[in-house]
Amino acid sequence: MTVHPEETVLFVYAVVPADHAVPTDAKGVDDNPLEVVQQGPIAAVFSEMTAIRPPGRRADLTAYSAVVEALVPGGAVAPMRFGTVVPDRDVLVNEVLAPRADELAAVLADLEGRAQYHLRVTFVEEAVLTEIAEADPRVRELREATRDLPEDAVVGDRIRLGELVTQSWERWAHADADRILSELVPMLSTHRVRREPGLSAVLDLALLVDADRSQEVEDRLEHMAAESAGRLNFRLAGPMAPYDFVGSG
Amino acid sequence: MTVQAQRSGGGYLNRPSPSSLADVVEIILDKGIVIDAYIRVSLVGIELLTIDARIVIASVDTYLRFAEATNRLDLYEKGGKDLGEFIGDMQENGASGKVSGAVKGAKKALTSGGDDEDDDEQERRPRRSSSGARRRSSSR
Repeated sequence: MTVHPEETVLFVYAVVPADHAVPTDAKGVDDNPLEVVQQGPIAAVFSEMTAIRPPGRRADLTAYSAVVEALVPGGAVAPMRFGTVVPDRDVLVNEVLAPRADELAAVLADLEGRAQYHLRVTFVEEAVLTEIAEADPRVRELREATRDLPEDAVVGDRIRLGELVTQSWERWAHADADRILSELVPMLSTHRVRREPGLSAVLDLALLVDADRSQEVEDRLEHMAAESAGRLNFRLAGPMAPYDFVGSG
Repeated sequence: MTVQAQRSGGGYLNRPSPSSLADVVEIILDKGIVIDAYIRVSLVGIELLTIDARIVIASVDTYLRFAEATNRLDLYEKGGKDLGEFIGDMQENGASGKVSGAVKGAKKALTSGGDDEDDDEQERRPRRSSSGARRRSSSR
């Protein structure tokens, strides 16, 4: 689709069940009112937007997020990917909704009564580096050999040191991720590991939780965070719309 | 970055505000239903946003950063900063400024506005912390 400046396009936020109570007072991108169009068992929530500029501003992202979250209390929500724009209602109904109405209705039925959380677990750097150094005599030796020399000296030793440390870091990240997952997964409806355990995070996890178990999951995570305090940081966002669990993600 | 600073309400589990833009970016940016590209549907404006967190740092640089972080550890005895550590810090600030500057620059398009707090830390670990060793020992 070619977007011409000054043309009006439709910014699509989410697909919901046809009987979903969409808040009528909510505003979308550019403060335009939300509209709903129905197709069989499902409906799309959208608002008008001028095509004068692409929807990539921070205000657009927060507006999109606010609309999707405002839909959550009304029932199941399948968010569209941010930035999804169609030229008009006809395309929205006949090319987006109609061909996949049954599929999307099934997705929505499965999401009913469930919420997503996002869990990010990271190492406390100093604590884990200390453990690595204490566990590996080669790390200690290379540390002694490099730490008091200028940075451009013994570069090979420094690289070897960093390589050993990152290898341990990644191995331990996997081990901690496995341990956390084994404790958590039985409580979840489903989950998705968003990024493999590695240097940036031990665990980067989307959780889909039945509403009646959400308190249990939060309590368990609080307990795990307390047990690992000083070594692992636990960061939990949500409940939120199930962005990670709407199929083609 | 300390655990203590992130606690809310006495809990150990950090619960970010749901409206934090940095969290929104991290969590939802490339998620959601994707409509097949061959029909008349566009995903526009995404390039600007997805630059974030896609900067791959060469492995040697990563090794060197971890080596430096390991060398900054206060493993056994050291009381204060020694000269070597000072020199290291100064040189790091020069070198790492480029990397974090690039990440921040890409992210700035999105989060320039104030509420990005400490959330641009991924992909940049380990982070600079000259007093980290003392913090660690006090948190144990």
